[in-house]
Amino acid sequence: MKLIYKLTLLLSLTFSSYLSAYSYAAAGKELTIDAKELILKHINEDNFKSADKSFEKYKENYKYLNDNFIDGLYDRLNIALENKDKKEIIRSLELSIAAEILRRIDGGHKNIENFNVAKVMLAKANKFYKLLSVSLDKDTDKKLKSAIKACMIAIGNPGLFGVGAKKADKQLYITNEKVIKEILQSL
Amino acid sequence: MSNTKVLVLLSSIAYAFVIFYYPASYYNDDSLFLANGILNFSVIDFSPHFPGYPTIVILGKFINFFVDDSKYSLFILSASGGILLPAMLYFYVKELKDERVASFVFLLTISSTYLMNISLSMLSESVGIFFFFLALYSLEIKKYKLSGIILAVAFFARPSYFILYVVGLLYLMLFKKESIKEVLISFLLSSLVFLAFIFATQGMLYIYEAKRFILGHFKTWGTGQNTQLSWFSNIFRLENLAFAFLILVPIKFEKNLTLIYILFISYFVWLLSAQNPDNIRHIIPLVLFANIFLGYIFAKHVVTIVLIFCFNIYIVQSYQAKLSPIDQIVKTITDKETKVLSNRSIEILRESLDNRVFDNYYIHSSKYYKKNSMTYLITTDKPKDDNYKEFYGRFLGEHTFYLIKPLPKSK
Repeated sequence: MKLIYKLTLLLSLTFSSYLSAYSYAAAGKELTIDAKELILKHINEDNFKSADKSFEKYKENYKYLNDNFIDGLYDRLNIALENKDKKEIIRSLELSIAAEILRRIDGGHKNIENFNVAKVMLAKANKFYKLLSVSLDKDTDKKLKSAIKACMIAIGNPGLFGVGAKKADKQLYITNEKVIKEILQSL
Repeated sequence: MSNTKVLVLLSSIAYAFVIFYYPASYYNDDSLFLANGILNFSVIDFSPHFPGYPTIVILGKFINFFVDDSKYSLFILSASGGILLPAMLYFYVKELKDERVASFVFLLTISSTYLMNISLSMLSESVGIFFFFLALYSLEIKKYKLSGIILAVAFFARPSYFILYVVGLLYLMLFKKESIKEVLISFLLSSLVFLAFIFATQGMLYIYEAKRFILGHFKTWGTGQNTQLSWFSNIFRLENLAFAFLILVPIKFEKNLTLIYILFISYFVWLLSAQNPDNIRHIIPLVLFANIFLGYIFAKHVVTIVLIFCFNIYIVQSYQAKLSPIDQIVKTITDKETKVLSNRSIEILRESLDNRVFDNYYIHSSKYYKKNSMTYLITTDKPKDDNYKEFYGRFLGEHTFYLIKPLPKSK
């Protein structure tokens, strides 16, 4: 009975669109996105006390992003919250999305010989990019978009049964990773 | 050629002219993803999204070889499914019964507003259901191997009609034992070819994306927005008035329609329990089965068929739009700076309006942007104030979109 139930559930989810109108653009369940949404919920209500509490809840995640990808992110957000500076809070939260892009681009670099992992990393980087892009000026957005695309090309392609296979181009990846870092760390 | 065949041919040509008079216009992001998949098949990049629709991708690639425009190739493919579907039903019903009933079913189908939906929406329904009926027809003329192959083609065009395949194969096991072995073997072997194509092109990333997509549906984005619609309101609406005659089906029971009765009931249960009422097009297999029932019921009442046909045409012509609402909105937004918030067709907007688009799924971020900058808001819920413009759909099931214009921010 349990098996039948599980099978029915799986089939329903796989072959239907039962769950109503949704956004495929959603990056997925991600701490940084959840934290951004929660903090902004409180900021929109001018409830800085709860925004502080939410920051506290996710501070380990911000420390990790700060220590590994964007130096100063943690303090910037912390101080902005203390100062109740809404503009700086949103800028820091957008910076946290930028850190997530860097995290995935870095993951792609480390796994460049492992196509499947690199591909997943870059797909995620691209989805985070789409969340950030609205806050970038047109030129910066264009440069960032094309650098991420170039990284996607640089990881190569296993081809169809090896036919049309393309080896990863590490140098191309490094060049574009540098461009991405320069853009995102200067935001 | 018989008179009815001439009628079928000429009407299908006329319908093709009507459909190709419309420009190719994406119904939603899913149609954009399918068009992208024709160029670069990559499920993990939502090109198209899971489960990948390999039949659409392969046939689309074939058309694109000549057309060299993935959007228009998809339009040709999905529109052709819709254009050929009434004729397919004609030939199927002719095998089941006779030319007269077949031509009635043809008339009810070709005039249906639902056929406009699947012909223009650039999604997988029209191709999936066309091949499904082609497989039923092959079964009826006892070409069992061919039927199995076509069934696989149909399944990999539109896997969400899964229930029809399960029930159909069970029916063959119980009532058409002579066919099941050939149908099942050719179906499974053909399915292996499609699976080989999927795994050869996507590798194990397909499994990764399957898990992510299913969990995403269940845990993340599926919980964000709920429709106000229900299947009750979708079914009991004026456009479906003629289907009230289905109440006569038990009185006029036809033994050779047993498979269709079973498919109708099982899909109806599946629809109510596992399909999203936000998309009325999920009802389309039922509409086609119901047209077959009506053709039988009114086999001797040509006047009734003509009246339903006229009513259907009246419904179809009441939709005036030539472009989808989202494409109409893209044409309307002429300024180059204002941000656009939407929870519908985000990727179509991004392709047209660059980086000004933000996903309204993230409601708190969106609220912040709305409060602090000039923004357009796109929604399918009618706004309370009057600062909006309406964009109507091209057919039943294409939602009206509302574009709420930006208000200047007070300092």
